[in-house]
Amino acid sequence: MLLYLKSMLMHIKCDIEYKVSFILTVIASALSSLLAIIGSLILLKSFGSIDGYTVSEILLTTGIALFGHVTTEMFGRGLDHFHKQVKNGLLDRLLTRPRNITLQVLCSEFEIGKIGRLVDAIVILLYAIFTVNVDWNFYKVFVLLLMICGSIILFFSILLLKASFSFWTIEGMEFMNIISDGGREVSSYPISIYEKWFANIFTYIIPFGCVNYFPLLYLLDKGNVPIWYGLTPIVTIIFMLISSGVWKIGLKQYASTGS
Amino acid sequence: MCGILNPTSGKCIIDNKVPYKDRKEYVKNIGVVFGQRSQLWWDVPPDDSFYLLRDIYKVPNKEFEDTREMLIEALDLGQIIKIPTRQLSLGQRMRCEIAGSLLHNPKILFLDEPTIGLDAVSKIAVRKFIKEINEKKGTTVILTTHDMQDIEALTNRIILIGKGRKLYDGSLSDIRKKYSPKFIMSAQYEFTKKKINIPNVDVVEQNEQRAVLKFNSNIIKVQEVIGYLAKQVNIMDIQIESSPIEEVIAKMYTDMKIE
Repeated sequence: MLLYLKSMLMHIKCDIEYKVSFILTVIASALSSLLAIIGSLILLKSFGSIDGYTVSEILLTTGIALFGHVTTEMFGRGLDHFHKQVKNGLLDRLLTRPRNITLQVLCSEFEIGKIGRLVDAIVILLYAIFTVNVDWNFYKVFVLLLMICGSIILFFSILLLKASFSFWTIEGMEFMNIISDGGREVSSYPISIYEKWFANIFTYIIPFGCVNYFPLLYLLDKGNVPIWYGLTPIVTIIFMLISSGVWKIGLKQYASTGS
Repeated sequence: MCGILNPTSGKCIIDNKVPYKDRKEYVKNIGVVFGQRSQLWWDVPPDDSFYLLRDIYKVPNKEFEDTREMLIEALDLGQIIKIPTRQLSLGQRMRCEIAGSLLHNPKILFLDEPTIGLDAVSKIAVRKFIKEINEKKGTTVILTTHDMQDIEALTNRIILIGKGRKLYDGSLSDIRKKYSPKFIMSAQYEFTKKKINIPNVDVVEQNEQRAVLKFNSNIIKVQEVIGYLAKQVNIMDIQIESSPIEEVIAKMYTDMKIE
Protein backbone atom coordinates (compact mmCIF):
# COMPACT_ATOMS: atom_id res chain seq x y z
CA MET A 1 0.00 0.00 0.00
CA LEU A 2 2.81 2.35 0.96
CA LEU A 3 4.53 1.43 -2.26
CA TYR A 4 1.40 2.29 -4.18
CA LEU A 5 1.16 5.70 -2.55
CA LYS A 6 4.79 6.43 -3.31
CA SER A 7 4.38 5.36 -6.93
CA MET A 8 1.37 7.64 -7.17
CA LEU A 9 3.40 10.57 -5.90
CA MET A 10 6.05 9.76 -8.46
CA HIS A 11 3.50 9.76 -11.27
CA ILE A 12 2.15 13.09 -10.12
CA LYS A 13 5.68 14.44 -10.01
CA CYS A 14 6.26 13.25 -13.57
CA ASP A 15 2.96 14.71 -14.76
CA ILE A 16 3.56 18.16 -13.35
CA GLU A 17 6.93 18.27 -15.07
CA TYR A 18 4.84 19.38 -18.03
CA LYS A 19 2.67 21.98 -16.33
CA VAL A 20 0.62 23.36 -19.21
CA SER A 21 -0.15 19.93 -20.58
CA PHE A 22 -1.16 18.79 -17.11
CA ILE A 23 -3.60 21.65 -16.54
CA LEU A 24 -5.11 21.23 -19.99
CA THR A 25 -5.61 17.50 -19.45
CA VAL A 26 -7.45 18.10 -16.19
CA ILE A 27 -9.71 20.73 -17.76
CA ALA A 28 -10.33 18.63 -20.86
CA SER A 29 -11.24 15.55 -18.90
CA ALA A 30 -13.62 17.53 -16.70
CA LEU A 31 -15.27 19.13 -19.71
CA SER A 32 -15.64 15.96 -21.76
CA SER A 33 -17.86 14.12 -19.33
CA LEU A 34 -19.62 17.29 -18.23
CA LEU A 35 -20.62 18.11 -21.79
CA ALA A 36 -21.95 14.62 -22.39
CA ILE A 37 -24.07 14.84 -19.27
CA ILE A 38 -25.32 18.33 -20.04
CA GLY A 39 -26.35 16.97 -23.42
CA SER A 40 -28.46 14.23 -21.93
CA LEU A 41 -29.85 16.64 -19.32
CA ILE A 42 -31.18 18.89 -22.07
CA LEU A 43 -32.90 15.91 -23.64
CA LEU A 44 -34.33 14.90 -20.28
CA LYS A 45 -35.65 18.39 -19.64
CA SER A 46 -37.66 18.30 -22.82
CA PHE A 47 -38.99 14.79 -22.16
CA GLY A 48 -39.60 15.44 -18.46
CA SER A 49 -38.77 11.88 -17.55
CA ILE A 50 -37.66 8.62 -19.11
CA ASP A 51 -39.73 5.54 -18.41
CA GLY A 52 -41.02 7.16 -15.25
CA TYR A 53 -37.65 8.18 -13.85
CA THR A 54 -37.04 11.80 -12.88
CA VAL A 55 -33.90 13.76 -13.69
CA SER A 56 -32.46 13.32 -10.19
CA GLU A 57 -33.06 9.59 -10.26
CA ILE A 58 -31.30 9.25 -13.59
CA LEU A 59 -28.45 11.42 -12.37
CA LEU A 60 -28.05 9.09 -9.40
CA THR A 61 -27.39 6.14 -11.69
CA THR A 62 -25.22 8.27 -13.96
CA GLY A 63 -23.19 9.47 -11.00
CA ILE A 64 -22.64 5.98 -9.67
CA ALA A 65 -21.60 4.64 -13.07
CA LEU A 66 -19.30 7.55 -13.77
CA PHE A 67 -17.74 7.43 -10.32
CA GLY A 68 -16.96 3.73 -10.60
CA HIS A 69 -15.61 4.12 -14.11
CA VAL A 70 -13.41 7.12 -13.43
CA THR A 71 -11.86 5.80 -10.23
CA THR A 72 -10.83 2.57 -11.91
CA GLU A 73 -9.51 4.51 -14.89
CA MET A 74 -7.51 6.71 -12.58
CA PHE A 75 -6.07 4.06 -10.30
CA GLY A 76 -6.13 1.09 -12.65
CA ARG A 77 -4.59 2.70 -15.71
CA GLY A 78 -1.75 0.19 -15.55
CA LEU A 79 -4.24 -2.63 -16.16
CA ASP A 80 -5.89 -0.65 -18.93
CA HIS A 81 -2.54 -0.32 -20.70
CA PHE A 82 -1.31 -3.75 -19.73
CA HIS A 83 -1.25 -5.04 -23.30
CA LYS A 84 1.34 -2.36 -24.08
CA GLN A 85 3.41 -3.45 -21.12
CA VAL A 86 3.42 -7.03 -22.35
CA LYS A 87 4.49 -5.85 -25.77
CA ASN A 88 7.26 -3.48 -24.69
CA GLY A 89 8.69 -5.85 -22.10
CA LEU A 90 7.77 -3.96 -18.96
CA LEU A 91 6.16 -7.12 -17.64
CA ASP A 92 9.52 -8.90 -17.83
CA ARG A 93 11.02 -6.07 -15.84
CA LEU A 94 8.29 -6.43 -13.20
CA LEU A 95 8.90 -10.16 -13.01
CA THR A 96 12.48 -9.53 -11.93
CA ARG A 97 11.31 -7.75 -8.79
CA PRO A 98 10.38 -9.38 -5.50
CA ARG A 99 6.88 -7.97 -5.41
CA ASN A 100 3.39 -8.98 -6.32
CA ILE A 101 2.82 -8.54 -10.05
CA THR A 102 -0.71 -7.18 -9.75
CA LEU A 103 0.46 -4.53 -7.29
CA GLN A 104 3.33 -3.56 -9.56
CA VAL A 105 1.09 -3.27 -12.59
CA LEU A 106 -1.24 -1.02 -10.62
CA CYS A 107 1.74 1.05 -9.49
CA SER A 108 3.03 1.40 -13.01
CA GLU A 109 0.54 4.03 -14.08
CA PHE A 110 -1.63 6.59 -12.41
CA GLU A 111 -3.64 9.23 -14.19
CA ILE A 112 -3.92 12.30 -12.05
CA GLY A 113 -5.35 14.05 -15.11
CA LYS A 114 -8.61 12.16 -14.59
CA ILE A 115 -9.19 14.21 -11.47
CA GLY A 116 -11.35 16.56 -13.54
CA ARG A 117 -13.81 13.78 -14.30
CA LEU A 118 -13.66 12.53 -10.75
CA VAL A 119 -14.83 15.94 -9.57
CA ASP A 120 -17.64 15.79 -12.15
CA ALA A 121 -18.72 12.41 -10.85
CA ILE A 122 -18.72 13.57 -7.24
CA VAL A 123 -20.69 16.74 -8.04
CA ILE A 124 -23.32 14.79 -9.99
CA LEU A 125 -23.58 12.19 -7.28
CA LEU A 126 -23.97 14.76 -4.52
CA TYR A 127 -26.53 16.74 -6.49
CA ALA A 128 -28.55 13.59 -7.14
CA ILE A 129 -28.39 12.42 -3.54
CA PHE A 130 -29.71 15.69 -2.21
CA THR A 131 -32.44 16.24 -4.79
CA VAL A 132 -33.74 12.72 -5.28
CA ASN A 133 -36.99 11.83 -3.58
CA VAL A 134 -35.78 9.22 -1.10
CA ASP A 135 -36.38 9.00 2.67
CA TRP A 136 -32.75 8.36 3.62
CA ASN A 137 -32.36 6.03 6.56
CA PHE A 138 -29.41 4.04 7.82
CA TYR A 139 -30.09 1.03 5.60
CA LYS A 140 -30.68 3.12 2.50
CA VAL A 141 -27.41 4.98 2.97
CA PHE A 142 -25.76 1.58 3.31
CA VAL A 143 -27.36 0.45 0.05
CA LEU A 144 -26.11 3.60 -1.67
CA LEU A 145 -22.54 2.95 -0.49
CA LEU A 146 -22.90 -0.64 -1.61
CA MET A 147 -23.95 0.56 -5.07
CA ILE A 148 -20.91 2.81 -5.31
CA CYS A 149 -18.55 0.05 -4.17
CA GLY A 150 -20.23 -2.41 -6.53
CA SER A 151 -19.72 -0.02 -9.41
CA ILE A 152 -16.02 0.33 -8.63
CA ILE A 153 -15.57 -3.43 -8.23
CA LEU A 154 -17.39 -4.13 -11.47
CA PHE A 155 -15.41 -1.66 -13.59
CA PHE A 156 -12.20 -2.83 -11.98
CA SER A 157 -13.02 -6.46 -12.78
CA ILE A 158 -13.72 -5.59 -16.40
CA LEU A 159 -10.36 -3.86 -16.56
CA LEU A 160 -8.67 -6.88 -15.01
CA LEU A 161 -10.38 -9.14 -17.52
CA LYS A 162 -9.23 -6.91 -20.34
CA ALA A 163 -5.67 -7.00 -19.01
CA SER A 164 -5.83 -10.80 -18.70
CA PHE A 165 -6.60 -11.18 -22.37
CA SER A 166 -3.23 -9.56 -23.13
CA PHE A 167 -1.59 -12.80 -22.03
CA TRP A 168 -3.12 -14.58 -24.99
CA THR A 169 -3.46 -11.86 -27.58
CA ILE A 170 -2.50 -8.23 -27.72
CA GLU A 171 -4.90 -7.45 -30.50
CA GLY A 172 -8.57 -6.62 -30.36
CA MET A 173 -8.31 -4.79 -27.08
CA GLU A 174 -10.88 -2.29 -28.31
CA PHE A 175 -13.51 -4.97 -27.86
CA MET A 176 -13.09 -4.81 -24.11
CA ASN A 177 -13.45 -1.04 -24.23
CA ILE A 178 -16.94 -1.62 -25.58
CA ILE A 179 -17.75 -3.37 -22.35
CA SER A 180 -16.17 -0.82 -20.02
CA ASP A 181 -16.98 2.43 -21.84
CA GLY A 182 -20.18 1.01 -23.23
CA GLY A 183 -21.05 -0.36 -19.82
CA ARG A 184 -20.69 3.07 -18.35
CA GLU A 185 -23.07 4.50 -20.91
CA VAL A 186 -25.57 1.70 -20.54
CA SER A 187 -25.57 1.79 -16.77
CA SER A 188 -25.92 5.55 -16.73
CA TYR A 189 -29.65 4.90 -17.07
CA PRO A 190 -31.95 2.43 -15.33
CA ILE A 191 -31.70 -0.66 -17.51
CA SER A 192 -35.47 -1.11 -17.67
CA ILE A 193 -35.54 1.49 -20.44
CA TYR A 194 -33.75 -0.94 -22.78
CA GLU A 195 -35.01 -3.91 -24.74
CA LYS A 196 -35.35 -7.07 -22.71
CA TRP A 197 -32.54 -9.08 -24.33
CA PHE A 198 -30.15 -6.15 -24.02
CA ALA A 199 -31.05 -5.59 -20.37
CA ASN A 200 -30.54 -9.31 -19.74
CA ILE A 201 -26.94 -9.21 -20.99
CA PHE A 202 -26.19 -6.36 -18.64
CA THR A 203 -27.84 -8.11 -15.74
CA TYR A 204 -26.80 -11.73 -15.93
CA ILE A 205 -23.53 -11.68 -17.87
CA ILE A 206 -22.06 -8.36 -16.85
CA PRO A 207 -24.01 -7.49 -13.74
CA PHE A 208 -24.45 -3.75 -14.18
CA GLY A 209 -28.13 -4.18 -13.39
CA CYS A 210 -27.24 -5.47 -9.96
CA VAL A 211 -25.26 -2.32 -9.27
CA ASN A 212 -27.54 0.32 -10.65
CA TYR A 213 -31.02 -1.02 -11.24
CA PHE A 214 -32.27 -3.43 -8.59
CA PRO A 215 -30.92 -1.45 -5.64
CA LEU A 216 -32.30 1.69 -7.25
CA LEU A 217 -35.77 0.14 -7.37
CA TYR A 218 -35.47 -0.49 -3.67
CA LEU A 219 -34.20 3.02 -2.88
CA LEU A 220 -37.03 4.62 -4.85
CA ASP A 221 -39.68 2.19 -3.56
CA LYS A 222 -40.72 1.32 -7.09
CA GLY A 223 -42.90 -1.72 -7.64
CA ASN A 224 -42.71 -2.89 -4.01
CA VAL A 225 -39.47 -4.79 -4.39
CA PRO A 226 -38.23 -6.92 -1.46
CA ILE A 227 -35.61 -5.47 0.86
CA TRP A 228 -32.81 -7.77 -0.38
CA TYR A 229 -32.86 -6.02 -3.74
CA GLY A 230 -30.75 -3.39 -2.02
CA LEU A 231 -28.00 -5.93 -1.45
CA THR A 232 -27.61 -7.10 -5.06
CA PRO A 233 -24.34 -5.12 -5.68
CA ILE A 234 -22.67 -7.94 -3.71
CA VAL A 235 -22.98 -10.03 -6.87
CA THR A 236 -20.10 -8.03 -8.36
CA ILE A 237 -17.76 -9.85 -6.00
CA ILE A 238 -18.47 -13.08 -7.91
CA PHE A 239 -17.62 -11.29 -11.14
CA MET A 240 -14.38 -10.07 -9.59
CA LEU A 241 -13.45 -13.57 -8.41
CA ILE A 242 -13.93 -14.87 -11.93
CA SER A 243 -11.84 -12.16 -13.56
CA SER A 244 -9.05 -12.41 -11.01
CA GLY A 245 -9.06 -16.17 -11.62
CA VAL A 246 -8.56 -15.58 -15.33
CA TRP A 247 -5.83 -13.07 -14.51
CA LYS A 248 -3.96 -15.59 -12.39
CA ILE A 249 -4.21 -18.30 -15.03
CA GLY A 250 -2.90 -15.84 -17.61
CA LEU A 251 0.02 -14.85 -15.45
CA LYS A 252 0.95 -18.49 -14.93
CA GLN A 253 0.84 -19.39 -18.56
CA TYR A 254 2.81 -16.31 -19.54
CA ALA A 255 5.64 -17.45 -17.31
CA SER A 256 5.69 -20.84 -18.96
CA THR A 257 5.88 -19.59 -22.54
CA GLY A 258 7.44 -16.20 -22.11
CA SER A 259 6.42 -15.15 -25.54
CA MET B 1 17.84 -17.36 -15.22
CA CYS B 2 16.02 -14.18 -14.19
CA GLY B 3 12.93 -16.15 -13.27
CA ILE B 4 10.87 -14.93 -16.19
CA LEU B 5 10.79 -18.02 -18.35
CA ASN B 6 10.14 -21.65 -17.62
CA PRO B 7 12.59 -24.05 -19.23
CA THR B 8 11.33 -26.30 -22.02
CA SER B 9 13.26 -29.12 -20.43
CA GLY B 10 15.86 -29.63 -17.75
CA LYS B 11 16.38 -27.86 -14.46
CA CYS B 12 17.95 -24.63 -13.37
CA ILE B 13 19.11 -24.07 -9.82
CA ILE B 14 20.79 -20.84 -8.80
CA ASP B 15 21.79 -20.03 -5.25
CA ASN B 16 19.82 -23.10 -4.10
CA LYS B 17 16.63 -21.72 -5.56
CA VAL B 18 14.66 -22.54 -8.67
CA PRO B 19 14.18 -19.12 -10.29
CA TYR B 20 10.87 -19.78 -12.02
CA LYS B 21 9.34 -21.46 -8.97
CA ASP B 22 10.38 -19.26 -6.03
CA ARG B 23 10.32 -16.12 -8.13
CA LYS B 24 9.79 -13.63 -5.30
CA GLU B 25 12.40 -15.19 -3.04
CA TYR B 26 14.89 -15.57 -5.84
CA VAL B 27 14.73 -12.14 -7.44
CA LYS B 28 15.50 -10.47 -4.12
CA ASN B 29 19.08 -11.49 -4.68
CA ILE B 30 19.51 -10.56 -8.30
CA GLY B 31 19.86 -7.31 -10.17
CA VAL B 32 18.88 -7.07 -13.82
CA VAL B 33 19.74 -4.47 -16.42
CA PHE B 34 17.94 -4.89 -19.72
CA GLY B 35 19.64 -2.81 -22.39
CA GLN B 36 16.44 -1.48 -23.88
CA ARG B 37 14.00 -1.59 -20.97
CA SER B 38 14.82 1.09 -18.51
CA GLN B 39 13.98 0.89 -14.85
CA LEU B 40 14.49 4.60 -14.38
CA TRP B 41 11.57 6.97 -14.53
CA TRP B 42 11.86 9.04 -17.63
CA ASP B 43 10.74 12.43 -16.34
CA VAL B 44 12.36 12.58 -12.92
CA PRO B 45 16.02 12.47 -11.83
CA PRO B 46 17.56 9.00 -11.32
CA ASP B 47 17.89 9.69 -7.63
CA ASP B 48 14.09 9.70 -7.25
CA SER B 49 13.96 6.36 -9.04
CA PHE B 50 16.58 5.03 -6.64
CA TYR B 51 14.39 5.87 -3.66
CA LEU B 52 11.40 4.16 -5.22
CA LEU B 53 13.54 1.09 -5.93
CA ARG B 54 14.50 1.11 -2.26
CA ASP B 55 10.81 0.76 -1.43
CA ILE B 56 10.23 -1.92 -4.04
CA TYR B 57 13.07 -4.05 -2.69
CA LYS B 58 12.40 -3.04 0.92
CA VAL B 59 16.05 -2.15 1.57
CA PRO B 60 16.71 -0.92 5.14
CA ASN B 61 17.47 2.81 5.19
CA LYS B 62 20.99 2.67 6.59
CA GLU B 63 22.08 -0.04 4.20
CA PHE B 64 20.49 1.78 1.29
CA GLU B 65 22.27 5.05 2.01
CA ASP B 66 25.63 3.27 2.25
CA THR B 67 25.15 1.42 -1.03
CA ARG B 68 23.88 4.54 -2.72
CA GLU B 69 26.91 6.57 -1.62
CA MET B 70 29.23 3.80 -2.73
CA LEU B 71 27.60 3.52 -6.15
CA ILE B 72 27.53 7.27 -6.72
CA GLU B 73 31.24 7.39 -6.05
CA ALA B 74 32.19 4.27 -8.00
CA LEU B 75 30.16 5.14 -11.07
CA ASP B 76 30.82 8.86 -10.81
CA LEU B 77 27.15 9.82 -10.67
CA GLY B 78 27.45 12.87 -8.42
CA GLN B 79 26.90 15.31 -11.28
CA ILE B 80 24.06 13.57 -13.06
CA ILE B 81 21.91 12.08 -10.35
CA LYS B 82 19.74 15.17 -9.95
CA ILE B 83 19.13 15.71 -13.68
CA PRO B 84 15.89 14.28 -15.15
CA THR B 85 16.62 10.96 -16.82
CA ARG B 86 15.33 12.10 -20.19
CA GLN B 87 18.15 14.66 -20.41
CA LEU B 88 20.97 12.18 -19.78
CA SER B 89 23.17 10.70 -22.48
CA LEU B 90 23.07 6.98 -23.17
CA GLY B 91 26.28 6.37 -21.27
CA GLN B 92 25.16 8.37 -18.27
CA ARG B 93 21.87 6.55 -18.28
CA MET B 94 23.53 3.15 -18.43
CA ARG B 95 25.66 4.04 -15.43
CA CYS B 96 22.52 5.02 -13.56
CA GLU B 97 20.78 1.81 -14.68
CA ILE B 98 23.60 -0.28 -13.31
CA ALA B 99 23.54 1.65 -10.05
CA GLY B 100 19.78 1.15 -9.88
CA SER B 101 20.08 -2.59 -10.25
CA LEU B 102 22.64 -2.82 -7.43
CA LEU B 103 20.85 -0.78 -4.77
CA HIS B 104 19.59 -3.89 -2.99
CA ASN B 105 23.04 -5.50 -2.97
CA PRO B 106 22.22 -8.48 -5.14
CA LYS B 107 24.46 -11.54 -5.19
CA ILE B 108 24.08 -11.88 -8.92
CA LEU B 109 23.94 -9.13 -11.50
CA PHE B 110 22.55 -9.78 -14.97
CA LEU B 111 23.57 -7.35 -17.66
CA ASP B 112 22.07 -7.51 -21.11
CA GLU B 113 24.43 -5.74 -23.52
CA PRO B 114 25.63 -3.15 -21.01
CA THR B 115 28.14 -1.56 -23.37
CA ILE B 116 26.05 -1.44 -26.54
CA GLY B 117 26.16 1.96 -28.17
CA LEU B 118 28.22 3.56 -25.41
CA ASP B 119 30.93 6.14 -25.91
CA ALA B 120 34.51 5.09 -25.18
CA VAL B 121 34.68 6.74 -21.75
CA SER B 122 31.47 5.18 -20.50
CA LYS B 123 32.38 1.81 -21.95
CA ILE B 124 35.65 1.71 -20.08
CA ALA B 125 34.02 3.06 -16.92
CA VAL B 126 31.36 0.34 -17.08
CA ARG B 127 33.96 -2.41 -17.60
CA LYS B 128 36.11 -1.13 -14.79
CA PHE B 129 33.15 -0.97 -12.48
CA ILE B 130 32.01 -4.51 -13.30
CA LYS B 131 35.48 -5.79 -12.44
CA GLU B 132 35.50 -3.77 -9.27
CA ILE B 133 32.22 -5.00 -7.78
CA ASN B 134 33.18 -8.52 -8.66
CA GLU B 135 36.46 -8.23 -6.81
CA LYS B 136 35.32 -6.13 -3.85
CA LYS B 137 31.83 -7.41 -3.18
CA GLY B 138 32.07 -10.83 -4.76
CA THR B 139 29.04 -10.11 -6.95
CA THR B 140 28.63 -12.62 -9.71
CA VAL B 141 28.12 -10.82 -12.99
CA ILE B 142 26.43 -12.51 -15.91
CA LEU B 143 26.42 -10.48 -19.07
CA THR B 144 25.59 -10.85 -22.71
CA THR B 145 27.55 -8.85 -25.21
CA HIS B 146 28.53 -8.70 -28.82
CA ASP B 147 31.59 -6.73 -27.96
CA MET B 148 34.49 -9.19 -27.73
CA GLN B 149 36.60 -6.56 -26.05
CA ASP B 150 34.18 -6.74 -23.14
CA ILE B 151 34.99 -10.41 -22.83
CA GLU B 152 38.69 -9.79 -23.12
CA ALA B 153 38.56 -7.12 -20.44
CA LEU B 154 36.38 -9.00 -17.99
CA THR B 155 36.85 -12.75 -18.05
CA ASN B 156 39.54 -15.22 -17.22
CA ARG B 157 37.74 -18.43 -17.92
CA ILE B 158 35.69 -19.02 -21.01
CA ILE B 159 33.03 -21.64 -21.50
CA LEU B 160 31.93 -21.72 -25.08
CA ILE B 161 28.50 -23.09 -25.85
CA GLY B 162 27.18 -23.91 -29.28
CA LYS B 163 24.03 -25.75 -30.28
CA GLY B 164 23.38 -26.77 -26.70
CA ARG B 165 26.75 -28.44 -26.21
CA LYS B 166 29.76 -27.33 -24.27
CA LEU B 167 32.53 -26.77 -26.78
CA TYR B 168 35.30 -25.37 -24.73
CA ASP B 169 36.22 -24.64 -21.13
CA GLY B 170 39.45 -22.85 -20.36
CA SER B 171 41.26 -19.55 -20.30
CA LEU B 172 41.29 -16.99 -23.05
CA SER B 173 45.04 -17.27 -23.63
CA ASP B 174 44.66 -21.04 -24.01
CA ILE B 175 42.10 -20.51 -26.74
CA ARG B 176 44.55 -18.17 -28.38
CA LYS B 177 47.32 -20.72 -28.25
CA LYS B 178 45.15 -23.41 -29.66
CA TYR B 179 43.20 -21.64 -32.34
CA SER B 180 45.19 -18.60 -33.17
CA PRO B 181 48.85 -18.98 -32.41
CA LYS B 182 49.72 -16.41 -35.05
CA PHE B 183 51.40 -13.24 -33.92
CA ILE B 184 52.25 -10.16 -35.91
CA MET B 185 55.20 -8.12 -34.78
CA SER B 186 56.10 -4.74 -36.19
CA ALA B 187 59.50 -3.39 -35.29
CA GLN B 188 61.23 -0.08 -35.84
CA TYR B 189 64.98 0.10 -35.73
CA GLU B 190 67.95 2.30 -36.57
CA PHE B 191 68.78 2.71 -40.21
CA THR B 192 70.23 -0.47 -41.73
CA LYS B 193 70.44 -2.14 -45.14
CA LYS B 194 70.79 -5.59 -43.63
CA LYS B 195 68.11 -8.17 -44.44
CA ILE B 196 66.42 -9.66 -41.39
CA ASN B 197 66.54 -13.41 -41.28
CA ILE B 198 65.06 -15.41 -38.40
CA PRO B 199 64.25 -19.13 -38.61
CA ASN B 200 60.54 -19.99 -38.65
CA VAL B 201 59.52 -16.33 -39.03
CA ASP B 202 57.96 -14.81 -42.13
CA VAL B 203 59.14 -11.34 -43.00
CA VAL B 204 56.00 -9.80 -44.42
CA GLU B 205 57.57 -6.50 -45.35
CA GLN B 206 60.83 -4.72 -44.67
CA ASN B 207 62.50 -1.42 -45.45
CA GLU B 208 65.49 0.42 -43.93
CA GLN B 209 63.73 1.39 -40.72
CA ARG B 210 60.75 -0.86 -40.26
CA ALA B 211 59.76 -4.51 -40.62
CA VAL B 212 56.64 -6.58 -40.13
CA LEU B 213 57.12 -10.18 -39.01
CA LYS B 214 54.66 -13.00 -38.73
CA PHE B 215 55.18 -16.15 -36.69
CA ASN B 216 53.47 -19.00 -34.91
CA SER B 217 54.02 -18.98 -31.16
CA ASN B 218 53.69 -22.78 -30.96
CA ILE B 219 56.87 -23.07 -33.05
CA ILE B 220 58.90 -20.12 -31.92
CA LYS B 221 58.37 -18.13 -28.71
CA VAL B 222 57.92 -14.36 -28.68
CA GLN B 223 61.08 -13.72 -26.66
CA GLU B 224 63.14 -15.85 -29.03
CA VAL B 225 61.97 -13.75 -31.96
CA ILE B 226 62.88 -10.59 -30.09
CA GLY B 227 66.27 -12.11 -29.20
CA TYR B 228 67.10 -12.90 -32.82
CA LEU B 229 65.90 -9.52 -33.93
CA ALA B 230 67.99 -7.66 -31.34
CA LYS B 231 71.13 -9.39 -32.58
CA GLN B 232 70.53 -8.29 -36.16
CA VAL B 233 69.29 -4.69 -35.72
CA ASN B 234 69.15 -1.96 -33.08
CA ILE B 235 65.49 -2.04 -32.03
CA MET B 236 63.81 1.27 -31.20
CA ASP B 237 60.19 0.20 -30.84
CA ILE B 238 58.21 -3.03 -31.00
CA GLN B 239 54.49 -3.75 -31.23
CA ILE B 240 53.06 -7.24 -30.96
CA GLU B 241 49.51 -8.03 -31.97
CA SER B 242 47.61 -11.24 -31.72
CA SER B 243 44.64 -11.76 -33.97
CA PRO B 244 41.48 -10.10 -32.66
CA ILE B 245 39.36 -12.21 -30.34
CA GLU B 246 36.38 -12.02 -32.72
CA GLU B 247 38.36 -13.90 -35.31
CA VAL B 248 39.48 -16.45 -32.76
CA ILE B 249 35.95 -17.23 -31.65
CA ALA B 250 34.64 -17.27 -35.21
CA LYS B 251 37.42 -19.69 -36.15
CA MET B 252 36.56 -21.93 -33.23
CA TYR B 253 32.95 -22.11 -34.34
CA THR B 254 33.87 -22.97 -37.90
CA ASP B 255 36.39 -25.53 -36.70
CA MET B 256 33.71 -27.22 -34.67
CA LYS B 257 31.30 -27.03 -37.57
CA ILE B 258 28.77 -24.93 -35.82
CA GLU B 259 27.27 -22.03 -37.61
